[in-house]
Amino acid sequence: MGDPTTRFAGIAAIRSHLPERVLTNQMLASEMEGWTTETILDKTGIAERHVAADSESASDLGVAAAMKLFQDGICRPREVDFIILCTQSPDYRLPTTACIMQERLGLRRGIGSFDMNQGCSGFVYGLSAAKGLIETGQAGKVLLITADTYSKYLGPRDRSVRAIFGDGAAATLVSAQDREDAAMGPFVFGTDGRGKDHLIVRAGGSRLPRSAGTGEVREGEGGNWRSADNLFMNGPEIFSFTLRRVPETVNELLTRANLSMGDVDLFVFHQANGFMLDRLRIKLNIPEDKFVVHLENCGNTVSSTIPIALEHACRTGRIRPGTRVMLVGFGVGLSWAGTFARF
Amino acid sequence: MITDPETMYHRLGEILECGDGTPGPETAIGAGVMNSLRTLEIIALIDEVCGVTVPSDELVACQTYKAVLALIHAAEREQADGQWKDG
Repeated sequence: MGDPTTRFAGIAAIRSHLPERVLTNQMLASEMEGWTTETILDKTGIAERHVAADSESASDLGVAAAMKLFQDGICRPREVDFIILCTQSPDYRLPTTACIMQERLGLRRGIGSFDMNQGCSGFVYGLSAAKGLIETGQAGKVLLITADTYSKYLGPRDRSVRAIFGDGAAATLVSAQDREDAAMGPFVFGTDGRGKDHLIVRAGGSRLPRSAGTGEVREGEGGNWRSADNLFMNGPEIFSFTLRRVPETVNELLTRANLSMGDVDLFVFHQANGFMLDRLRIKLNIPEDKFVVHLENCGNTVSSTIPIALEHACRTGRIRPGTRVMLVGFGVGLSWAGTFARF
Repeated sequence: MITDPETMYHRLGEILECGDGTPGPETAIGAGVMNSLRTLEIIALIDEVCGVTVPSDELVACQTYKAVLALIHAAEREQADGQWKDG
Protein backbone atom coordinates (compact mmCIF):
# COMPACT_ATOMS: atom_id res chain seq x y z
CA MET A 1 0.00 0.00 0.00
CA GLY A 2 0.97 3.63 -0.19
CA ASP A 3 3.56 5.36 1.88
CA PRO A 4 1.72 7.24 4.64
CA THR A 5 4.38 9.95 4.70
CA THR A 6 3.47 11.21 1.19
CA ARG A 7 0.56 13.58 1.31
CA PHE A 8 -0.06 15.30 -1.99
CA ALA A 9 -2.24 13.65 -4.62
CA GLY A 10 -2.03 14.73 -8.23
CA ILE A 11 -2.87 13.55 -11.75
CA ALA A 12 0.11 11.62 -13.12
CA ALA A 13 -1.26 10.61 -16.53
CA ILE A 14 -4.45 10.06 -18.52
CA ARG A 15 -5.26 7.70 -21.38
CA SER A 16 -8.58 7.30 -23.14
CA HIS A 17 -10.33 4.84 -25.38
CA LEU A 18 -13.25 5.24 -27.77
CA PRO A 19 -15.10 2.33 -29.35
CA GLU A 20 -14.44 1.64 -33.01
CA ARG A 21 -17.96 2.18 -34.36
CA VAL A 22 -18.69 5.78 -35.38
CA LEU A 23 -22.02 7.56 -35.79
CA THR A 24 -21.55 10.57 -38.04
CA ASN A 25 -23.83 13.56 -38.52
CA GLN A 26 -24.42 12.37 -42.05
CA MET A 27 -25.76 9.09 -40.72
CA LEU A 28 -28.00 10.89 -38.22
CA ALA A 29 -29.25 13.36 -40.83
CA SER A 30 -30.23 10.52 -43.15
CA GLU A 31 -32.36 9.02 -40.37
CA MET A 32 -34.00 12.17 -39.08
CA GLU A 33 -36.26 14.36 -41.13
CA GLY A 34 -35.46 18.06 -41.15
CA TRP A 35 -31.90 17.69 -39.96
CA THR A 36 -28.79 18.32 -41.98
CA THR A 37 -25.19 17.47 -41.26
CA GLU A 38 -24.43 21.17 -40.85
CA THR A 39 -27.39 21.81 -38.54
CA ILE A 40 -26.30 19.11 -36.15
CA LEU A 41 -22.72 20.38 -36.06
CA ASP A 42 -23.86 23.96 -35.65
CA LYS A 43 -26.25 23.21 -32.78
CA THR A 44 -24.16 20.65 -30.89
CA GLY A 45 -20.54 21.25 -31.87
CA ILE A 46 -20.34 17.52 -32.55
CA ALA A 47 -19.44 15.97 -35.92
CA GLU A 48 -19.30 12.34 -34.87
CA ARG A 49 -19.64 10.21 -31.78
CA HIS A 50 -18.39 6.70 -31.05
CA VAL A 51 -20.83 3.94 -30.20
CA ALA A 52 -20.08 0.70 -28.38
CA ALA A 53 -20.81 -2.55 -30.17
CA ASP A 54 -23.72 -4.61 -28.91
CA SER A 55 -21.31 -6.91 -27.12
CA GLU A 56 -19.12 -4.11 -25.78
CA SER A 57 -19.59 -2.86 -22.21
CA ALA A 58 -18.18 -0.17 -19.94
CA SER A 59 -15.53 -2.52 -18.55
CA ASP A 60 -14.27 -3.28 -22.07
CA LEU A 61 -13.78 0.43 -22.76
CA GLY A 62 -12.26 1.08 -19.34
CA VAL A 63 -9.85 -1.85 -19.57
CA ALA A 64 -8.70 -0.68 -23.01
CA ALA A 65 -8.01 2.81 -21.63
CA ALA A 66 -6.16 1.50 -18.58
CA MET A 67 -4.05 -0.87 -20.65
CA LYS A 68 -2.65 2.14 -22.50
CA LEU A 69 -1.27 3.46 -19.21
CA PHE A 70 0.54 0.15 -18.72
CA GLN A 71 1.64 -0.21 -22.34
CA ASP A 72 3.04 3.32 -22.33
CA GLY A 73 5.09 2.51 -19.24
CA ILE A 74 3.31 5.04 -17.02
CA CYS A 75 2.97 2.44 -14.31
CA ARG A 76 2.90 -1.32 -13.88
CA PRO A 77 -0.23 -3.24 -12.93
CA ARG A 78 1.29 -4.41 -9.66
CA GLU A 79 1.86 -0.81 -8.56
CA VAL A 80 -1.84 0.03 -8.48
CA ASP A 81 -3.23 0.16 -4.93
CA PHE A 82 -6.86 1.02 -5.65
CA ILE A 83 -9.27 1.06 -8.58
CA ILE A 84 -12.28 3.36 -8.75
CA LEU A 85 -14.72 3.02 -11.63
CA CYS A 86 -17.17 5.82 -12.28
CA THR A 87 -20.00 4.58 -14.48
CA GLN A 88 -23.75 4.70 -14.89
CA SER A 89 -23.77 1.75 -17.27
CA PRO A 90 -22.13 -1.06 -15.28
CA ASP A 91 -21.65 -4.51 -16.79
CA TYR A 92 -24.04 -6.06 -14.27
CA ARG A 93 -26.29 -4.87 -11.46
CA LEU A 94 -23.86 -6.88 -9.40
CA PRO A 95 -21.01 -7.69 -8.95
CA THR A 96 -19.11 -4.43 -8.86
CA THR A 97 -17.63 -3.79 -12.29
CA ALA A 98 -14.39 -2.50 -10.74
CA CYS A 99 -13.85 -5.99 -9.28
CA ILE A 100 -14.17 -7.47 -12.76
CA MET A 101 -11.66 -4.94 -14.05
CA GLN A 102 -9.16 -5.84 -11.30
CA GLU A 103 -8.99 -9.35 -12.69
CA ARG A 104 -8.97 -8.32 -16.33
CA LEU A 105 -6.18 -5.79 -15.79
CA GLY A 106 -4.05 -8.25 -13.86
CA LEU A 107 -3.98 -6.10 -10.74
CA ARG A 108 -2.98 -7.45 -7.35
CA ARG A 109 -5.63 -9.00 -5.10
CA GLY A 110 -4.53 -6.86 -2.18
CA ILE A 111 -6.14 -3.72 -3.56
CA GLY A 112 -9.39 -1.87 -2.99
CA SER A 113 -12.03 -1.40 -5.66
CA PHE A 114 -15.46 0.14 -5.96
CA ASP A 115 -17.89 1.52 -8.49
CA MET A 116 -19.27 5.00 -8.21
CA ASN A 117 -22.60 5.89 -9.79
CA GLN A 118 -22.14 9.45 -10.95
CA GLY A 119 -22.45 11.03 -14.37
CA CYS A 120 -21.05 14.26 -15.67
CA SER A 121 -19.68 15.38 -12.29
CA GLY A 122 -18.17 11.94 -11.69
CA PHE A 123 -14.59 12.61 -12.73
CA VAL A 124 -14.20 15.34 -10.11
CA TYR A 125 -15.82 13.07 -7.51
CA GLY A 126 -13.34 10.35 -8.45
CA LEU A 127 -10.40 12.72 -8.07
CA SER A 128 -11.67 13.68 -4.63
CA ALA A 129 -11.98 10.04 -3.56
CA ALA A 130 -8.50 9.26 -4.92
CA LYS A 131 -7.05 12.26 -3.12
CA GLY A 132 -8.60 11.10 0.15
CA LEU A 133 -7.14 7.61 -0.24
CA ILE A 134 -3.68 8.90 -1.09
CA GLU A 135 -3.38 11.74 1.38
CA THR A 136 -4.49 9.51 4.27
CA GLY A 137 -1.88 6.93 3.34
CA GLN A 138 -4.35 4.25 2.25
CA ALA A 139 -3.00 4.13 -1.29
CA GLY A 140 -0.06 5.38 -3.28
CA LYS A 141 -1.42 4.94 -6.80
CA VAL A 142 -5.13 5.06 -7.60
CA LEU A 143 -6.48 4.06 -11.00
CA LEU A 144 -9.54 6.20 -11.64
CA ILE A 145 -11.52 4.89 -14.58
CA THR A 146 -14.51 6.64 -16.09
CA ALA A 147 -16.46 4.60 -18.62
CA ASP A 148 -19.96 4.75 -20.01
CA THR A 149 -22.06 3.30 -22.79
CA TYR A 150 -25.03 5.65 -22.71
CA SER A 151 -25.78 4.70 -26.33
CA LYS A 152 -27.45 1.57 -24.98
CA TYR A 153 -29.98 3.80 -23.20
CA LEU A 154 -30.82 6.01 -26.17
CA GLY A 155 -34.07 5.64 -28.07
CA PRO A 156 -33.30 5.15 -31.78
CA ARG A 157 -35.85 7.82 -32.69
CA ASP A 158 -34.88 10.34 -29.99
CA ARG A 159 -32.79 12.91 -31.77
CA SER A 160 -32.61 15.12 -28.65
CA VAL A 161 -30.04 12.74 -27.17
CA ARG A 162 -28.64 10.72 -30.08
CA ALA A 163 -26.85 13.74 -31.49
CA ILE A 164 -25.25 14.54 -28.14
CA PHE A 165 -24.02 11.42 -26.40
CA GLY A 166 -21.12 9.16 -27.33
CA ASP A 167 -19.52 6.20 -25.60
CA GLY A 168 -16.00 6.27 -24.25
CA ALA A 169 -13.66 5.74 -21.34
CA ALA A 170 -10.64 7.30 -19.68
CA ALA A 171 -8.10 5.95 -17.23
CA THR A 172 -6.47 8.48 -14.94
CA LEU A 173 -3.55 7.59 -12.73
CA VAL A 174 -3.67 9.60 -9.53
CA SER A 175 -0.54 9.26 -7.45
CA ALA A 176 1.32 10.69 -4.51
CA GLN A 177 3.39 13.72 -5.48
CA ASP A 178 6.27 15.20 -3.59
CA ARG A 179 5.34 18.79 -4.47
CA GLU A 180 2.49 20.49 -2.66
CA ASP A 181 1.81 22.70 -5.67
CA ALA A 182 1.03 19.57 -7.71
CA ALA A 183 -1.83 18.65 -5.38
CA MET A 184 -5.44 18.74 -6.50
CA GLY A 185 -7.97 20.89 -4.71
CA PRO A 186 -9.78 22.56 -3.17
CA PHE A 187 -13.03 20.84 -4.09
CA VAL A 188 -16.56 22.23 -4.37
CA PHE A 189 -19.60 19.95 -4.54
CA GLY A 190 -23.30 20.54 -5.10
CA THR A 191 -26.41 18.38 -5.26
CA ASP A 192 -30.06 19.05 -6.02
CA GLY A 193 -32.13 15.88 -6.17
CA ARG A 194 -35.23 17.88 -7.06
CA GLY A 195 -33.92 17.79 -10.60
CA LYS A 196 -33.74 14.00 -10.82
CA ASP A 197 -36.43 13.82 -13.49
CA HIS A 198 -34.57 16.11 -15.89
CA LEU A 199 -32.02 13.45 -16.84
CA ILE A 200 -33.13 9.94 -16.10
CA VAL A 201 -33.52 6.34 -17.23
CA ARG A 202 -36.75 5.49 -15.42
CA ALA A 203 -36.81 1.72 -15.79
CA GLY A 204 -34.28 -0.90 -14.82
CA GLY A 205 -33.85 -0.23 -11.11
CA SER A 206 -35.88 -1.36 -8.11
CA ARG A 207 -38.35 1.51 -8.40
CA LEU A 208 -39.47 0.43 -11.85
CA PRO A 209 -38.07 -2.91 -13.04
CA ARG A 210 -37.83 -3.43 -16.79
CA SER A 211 -40.80 -5.16 -18.35
CA ALA A 212 -42.62 -5.37 -21.65
CA GLY A 213 -44.51 -2.26 -20.58
CA THR A 214 -41.44 -0.18 -19.85
CA GLY A 215 -40.16 -0.99 -23.32
CA GLU A 216 -43.21 0.52 -24.99
CA VAL A 217 -42.10 3.44 -27.14
CA ARG A 218 -44.17 6.64 -27.07
CA GLU A 219 -43.92 9.99 -28.76
CA GLY A 220 -42.61 12.74 -26.52
CA GLU A 221 -41.96 16.44 -27.01
CA GLY A 222 -40.64 17.58 -30.37
CA GLY A 223 -41.49 14.32 -32.09
CA ASN A 224 -38.92 12.36 -30.13
CA TRP A 225 -39.84 8.77 -29.41
CA ARG A 226 -38.65 6.92 -26.33
CA SER A 227 -39.64 4.33 -23.75
CA ALA A 228 -39.11 4.19 -19.98
CA ASP A 229 -36.06 2.01 -20.71
CA ASN A 230 -34.50 4.92 -22.58
CA LEU A 231 -32.68 8.01 -21.41
CA PHE A 232 -34.83 11.11 -21.10
CA MET A 233 -33.17 14.52 -21.04
CA ASN A 234 -34.99 17.79 -20.47
CA GLY A 235 -32.41 19.85 -22.35
CA PRO A 236 -33.74 23.31 -21.49
CA GLU A 237 -33.90 22.53 -17.76
CA ILE A 238 -30.40 21.10 -17.77
CA PHE A 239 -29.26 24.21 -19.59
CA SER A 240 -30.92 26.52 -17.04
CA PHE A 241 -29.39 24.55 -14.19
CA THR A 242 -25.97 24.80 -15.79
CA LEU A 243 -26.17 28.54 -16.37
CA ARG A 244 -27.03 28.99 -12.70
CA ARG A 245 -24.77 26.49 -10.94
CA VAL A 246 -21.55 26.48 -12.95
CA PRO A 247 -20.76 30.19 -12.47
CA GLU A 248 -21.53 29.80 -8.76
CA THR A 249 -19.16 26.84 -8.59
CA VAL A 250 -16.43 28.71 -10.43
CA ASN A 251 -16.70 31.66 -8.05
CA GLU A 252 -16.76 29.46 -4.98
CA LEU A 253 -13.69 27.57 -6.17
CA LEU A 254 -11.80 30.79 -6.77
CA THR A 255 -12.75 32.08 -3.33
CA ARG A 256 -11.70 28.87 -1.59
CA ALA A 257 -8.40 28.77 -3.46
CA ASN A 258 -7.84 32.51 -2.96
CA LEU A 259 -7.37 32.92 -6.70
CA SER A 260 -8.80 35.17 -9.39
CA MET A 261 -9.90 34.24 -12.92
CA GLY A 262 -6.57 35.53 -14.24
CA ASP A 263 -4.68 33.01 -12.09
CA VAL A 264 -6.27 30.10 -13.94
CA ASP A 265 -4.33 28.92 -16.99
CA LEU A 266 -7.00 26.69 -18.48
CA PHE A 267 -10.67 25.91 -17.92
CA VAL A 268 -11.84 22.38 -18.67
CA PHE A 269 -15.54 21.96 -18.09
CA HIS A 270 -17.74 18.96 -18.74
CA GLN A 271 -18.12 18.80 -22.51
CA ALA A 272 -21.91 18.71 -22.57
CA ASN A 273 -22.40 20.24 -26.00
CA GLY A 274 -21.01 23.12 -27.99
CA PHE A 275 -23.93 25.48 -27.41
CA MET A 276 -23.76 25.13 -23.64
CA LEU A 277 -19.98 25.51 -23.51
CA ASP A 278 -20.17 28.61 -25.66
CA ARG A 279 -22.77 30.22 -23.39
CA LEU A 280 -20.78 29.36 -20.27
CA ARG A 281 -17.57 30.79 -21.70
CA ILE A 282 -19.31 34.04 -22.62
CA LYS A 283 -21.14 34.32 -19.30
CA LEU A 284 -17.91 33.78 -17.36
CA ASN A 285 -15.92 36.04 -19.68
CA ILE A 286 -13.25 33.38 -20.29
CA PRO A 287 -10.91 34.03 -23.23
CA GLU A 288 -11.14 31.38 -25.96
CA ASP A 289 -7.47 30.48 -25.64
CA LYS A 290 -8.03 29.51 -22.00
CA PHE A 291 -11.16 27.47 -22.61
CA VAL A 292 -11.07 23.89 -23.81
CA VAL A 293 -13.71 22.63 -26.24
CA HIS A 294 -13.04 19.07 -27.27
CA LEU A 295 -16.09 17.12 -28.33
CA GLU A 296 -16.31 17.41 -32.11
CA ASN A 297 -15.10 13.87 -32.68
CA CYS A 298 -16.36 12.12 -29.58
CA GLY A 299 -19.54 13.85 -28.36
CA ASN A 300 -20.61 13.97 -24.75
CA THR A 301 -19.04 10.93 -23.10
CA VAL A 302 -20.53 11.73 -19.68
CA SER A 303 -17.95 11.26 -16.89
CA SER A 304 -15.12 10.85 -19.41
CA THR A 305 -15.45 14.22 -21.13
CA ILE A 306 -13.10 16.05 -18.75
CA PRO A 307 -10.27 13.48 -18.75
CA ILE A 308 -10.55 13.02 -22.52
CA ALA A 309 -10.26 16.80 -22.95
CA LEU A 310 -7.36 16.93 -20.48
CA GLU A 311 -5.51 14.17 -22.33
CA HIS A 312 -5.96 16.04 -25.60
CA ALA A 313 -4.80 19.30 -24.02
CA CYS A 314 -1.66 17.55 -22.75
CA ARG A 315 -0.94 16.04 -26.15
CA THR A 316 -1.40 19.33 -27.96
CA GLY A 317 0.73 21.34 -25.55
CA ARG A 318 -2.06 23.38 -24.00
CA ILE A 319 -1.16 21.79 -20.69
CA ARG A 320 2.48 21.91 -19.68
CA PRO A 321 4.26 21.38 -16.37
CA GLY A 322 2.89 23.90 -13.91
CA THR A 323 -0.34 24.62 -15.78
CA ARG A 324 -3.19 25.32 -13.34
CA VAL A 325 -6.47 23.91 -14.67
CA MET A 326 -9.97 24.44 -13.32
CA LEU A 327 -12.22 21.41 -13.74
CA VAL A 328 -16.00 21.62 -13.40
CA GLY A 329 -18.43 18.76 -13.97
CA PHE A 330 -22.22 19.13 -13.93
CA GLY A 331 -25.31 17.20 -14.93
CA VAL A 332 -27.38 14.16 -14.01
CA GLY A 333 -28.50 14.08 -10.38
CA LEU A 334 -28.59 16.99 -10.46
CA SER A 335 -24.98 17.07 -9.39
CA TRP A 336 -22.04 19.39 -9.84
CA ALA A 337 -18.42 19.48 -8.67
CA GLY A 338 -15.28 21.44 -9.32
CA THR A 339 -11.62 21.47 -8.42
CA PHE A 340 -8.18 22.62 -9.52
CA ALA A 341 -5.54 20.32 -10.94
CA ARG A 342 -1.90 21.30 -11.43
CA PHE A 343 0.28 19.53 -13.94
CA MET B 1 -34.51 44.68 -14.90
CA ILE B 2 -35.55 44.84 -18.54
CA THR B 3 -35.09 48.48 -19.48
CA ASP B 4 -36.25 48.11 -23.03
CA PRO B 5 -39.09 45.64 -23.62
CA GLU B 6 -39.14 46.52 -27.30
CA THR B 7 -35.60 45.23 -27.70
CA MET B 8 -36.57 42.02 -25.96
CA TYR B 9 -39.63 41.61 -28.20
CA HIS B 10 -37.40 42.14 -31.21
CA ARG B 11 -34.89 39.53 -30.04
CA LEU B 12 -37.69 37.10 -29.27
CA GLY B 13 -39.07 37.73 -32.75
CA GLU B 14 -35.70 36.85 -34.28
CA ILE B 15 -35.48 33.56 -32.43
CA LEU B 16 -39.12 32.60 -32.90
CA GLU B 17 -39.18 33.81 -36.51
CA CYS B 18 -42.39 35.77 -36.05
CA GLY B 19 -42.48 36.94 -39.66
CA ASP B 20 -42.76 40.38 -41.19
CA GLY B 21 -44.88 42.06 -38.50
CA THR B 22 -43.36 44.15 -35.73
CA PRO B 23 -43.09 41.95 -32.65
CA GLY B 24 -44.93 43.31 -29.63
CA PRO B 25 -46.47 42.27 -26.33
CA GLU B 26 -49.49 40.65 -27.97
CA THR B 27 -47.52 38.72 -30.58
CA ALA B 28 -48.67 35.15 -30.30
CA ILE B 29 -46.40 32.16 -29.93
CA GLY B 30 -48.09 29.49 -31.96
CA ALA B 31 -48.31 25.85 -30.97
CA GLY B 32 -45.09 24.02 -31.74
CA VAL B 33 -43.10 27.20 -32.35
CA MET B 34 -41.29 26.98 -29.01
CA ASN B 35 -39.34 23.83 -29.80
CA SER B 36 -36.43 22.59 -27.73
CA LEU B 37 -33.70 24.46 -29.61
CA ARG B 38 -35.60 27.75 -29.55
CA THR B 39 -36.28 27.28 -25.85
CA LEU B 40 -32.55 26.92 -25.28
CA GLU B 41 -31.84 30.05 -27.28
CA ILE B 42 -34.43 32.08 -25.36
CA ILE B 43 -33.11 30.85 -22.01
CA ALA B 44 -29.64 31.95 -23.16
CA LEU B 45 -31.00 35.32 -24.31
CA ILE B 46 -32.76 35.98 -21.01
CA ASP B 47 -29.68 34.96 -19.06
CA GLU B 48 -27.49 37.22 -21.18
CA VAL B 49 -29.75 40.29 -21.17
CA CYS B 50 -31.43 40.01 -17.78
CA GLY B 51 -29.03 37.84 -15.76
CA VAL B 52 -31.75 35.42 -14.64
CA THR B 53 -32.79 31.93 -15.61
CA VAL B 54 -36.42 31.00 -16.12
CA PRO B 55 -38.10 27.59 -15.69
CA SER B 56 -38.24 25.96 -19.10
CA ASP B 57 -41.66 24.38 -18.61
CA GLU B 58 -43.19 27.79 -17.85
CA LEU B 59 -41.36 29.31 -20.81
CA VAL B 60 -42.71 26.67 -23.17
CA ALA B 61 -46.23 27.37 -21.86
CA CYS B 62 -46.04 31.09 -22.77
CA GLN B 63 -48.51 31.97 -25.53
CA THR B 64 -47.51 35.62 -26.08
CA TYR B 65 -44.34 37.69 -25.88
CA LYS B 66 -45.94 39.58 -22.99
CA ALA B 67 -46.14 36.31 -21.06
CA VAL B 68 -42.41 35.74 -21.59
CA LEU B 69 -41.69 39.18 -20.15
CA ALA B 70 -43.91 38.45 -17.17
CA LEU B 71 -41.92 35.28 -16.57
CA ILE B 72 -38.69 37.27 -16.66
CA HIS B 73 -40.06 39.80 -14.18
CA ALA B 74 -41.05 36.98 -11.84
CA ALA B 75 -37.55 35.50 -12.06
CA GLU B 76 -36.04 38.89 -11.36
CA ARG B 77 -38.23 39.32 -8.29
CA GLU B 78 -37.22 35.88 -7.05
CA GLN B 79 -33.59 36.68 -7.60
CA ALA B 80 -33.95 39.95 -5.73
CA ASP B 81 -35.58 38.06 -2.87
CA GLY B 82 -32.69 35.60 -2.85
CA GLN B 83 -34.99 32.64 -3.53
CA TRP B 84 -33.21 31.58 -6.69
CA LYS B 85 -30.07 30.73 -4.78
CA ASP B 86 -31.83 27.68 -3.41
CA GLY B 87 -34.05 27.01 -6.37
